[in-house]
Amino acid sequence: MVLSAVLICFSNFIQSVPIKNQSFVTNHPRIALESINGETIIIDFETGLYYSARNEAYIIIELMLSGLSLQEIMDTCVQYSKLDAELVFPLVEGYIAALLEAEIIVPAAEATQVTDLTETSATKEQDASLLNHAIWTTGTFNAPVLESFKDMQELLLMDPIHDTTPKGWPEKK
Amino acid sequence: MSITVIIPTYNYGRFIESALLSVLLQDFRPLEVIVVNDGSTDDTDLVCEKVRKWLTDHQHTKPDVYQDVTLMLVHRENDGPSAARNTGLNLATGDYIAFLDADDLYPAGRLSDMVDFLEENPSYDMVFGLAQIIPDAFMSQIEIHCEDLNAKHPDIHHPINNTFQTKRMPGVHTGVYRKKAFSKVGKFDESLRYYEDIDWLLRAEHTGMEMFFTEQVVLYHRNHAGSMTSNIHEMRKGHLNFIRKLRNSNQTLPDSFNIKWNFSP
Repeated sequence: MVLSAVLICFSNFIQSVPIKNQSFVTNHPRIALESINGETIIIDFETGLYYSARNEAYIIIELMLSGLSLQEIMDTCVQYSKLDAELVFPLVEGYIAALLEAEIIVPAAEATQVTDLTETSATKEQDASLLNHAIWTTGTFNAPVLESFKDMQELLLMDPIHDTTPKGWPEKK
Repeated sequence: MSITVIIPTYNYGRFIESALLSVLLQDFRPLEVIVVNDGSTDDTDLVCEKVRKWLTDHQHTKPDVYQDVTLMLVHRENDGPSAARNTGLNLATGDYIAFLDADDLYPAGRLSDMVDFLEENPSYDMVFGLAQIIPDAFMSQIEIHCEDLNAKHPDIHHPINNTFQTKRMPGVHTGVYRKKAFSKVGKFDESLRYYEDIDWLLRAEHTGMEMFFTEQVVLYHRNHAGSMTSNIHEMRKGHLNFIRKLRNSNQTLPDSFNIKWNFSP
């Protein structure tokens, strides 16, 4: 009993601290994601939640989608914010951990599916715009926020307009 | 008072004859029907012309029944259901507006019942009823073909198997609207190819439109493999586009909206 409790805590600890040389991809097919005009919208089709990532959160996700490892994302954020690694590293690491915890992303090595076409990974042009982003001029690096919304939950889990079947309306998951 | 029924269609030539006839055989007059062919590449035009001929013939043989019925066929380049519905709205002359997707059917009496309600209840801007989801194979039980239309009207009250689910369906095709509602709410957002209905209904909610919900089945909704959302990728893009629009306008779906349309937990 005690042993199993310890193992659960240990596994949670492992999950919450991403490995620094790891890169990540979105958790397809469960997740759909799109970045436009400085905001990433993420839909989790398993929970019906959707998320918004802006500013620092948007930057981190875009860097992640371009294939950088956690260490490279942290280094990039330090380089461009010109702030101390001691300040920036835990914020980036914590955000990646939160994305892992919400199962929005998975380590690239564990990914079994090819990237969905809805996903917009950073192109070279986007990379350039990321590196010229206004947050780098603020002299700060705020804790990235993963805003979640559940107002579309029923629609996303059970699309009553489109997702009907020969048996009728879709069942609630 | 008059009503305009707008039928946007894209490559539903195999269904539109029945859809059109289910409207033309309604007992409400004057009746204006506008088919907006959204760039179809199938036999939609041929089928619509066949129905138009049927109507013209019946306007000669039964002028008392059909003289106040007009059928307009409009063509446009493919641009999605919102643009097609807006094309119909721009041409509509009716005091009331209704929509029908070309693969669905109206039950008999649906238009007169819903217009009667709005005539008797001037405080409401729009009225909605229930939809029944009918598998394609069973829909043939109530399909109506020109060849079958002799002197006697076919019975479009054909009993549907009651085991098929009947529920509120948050789409614009289950409603009848005062035309002036579109002046207040605006037209359909042509940037959306999915959830354009939800978007319009949400704007109607925000505009303060008064909606009434009847327990009458007003739509037979055909479930078939060719429906738009059979493409998962396009559906997901549609979800993302709609959520982005919500985000850009700092909106969420209010609880009242979710409850009204029965998709609240």
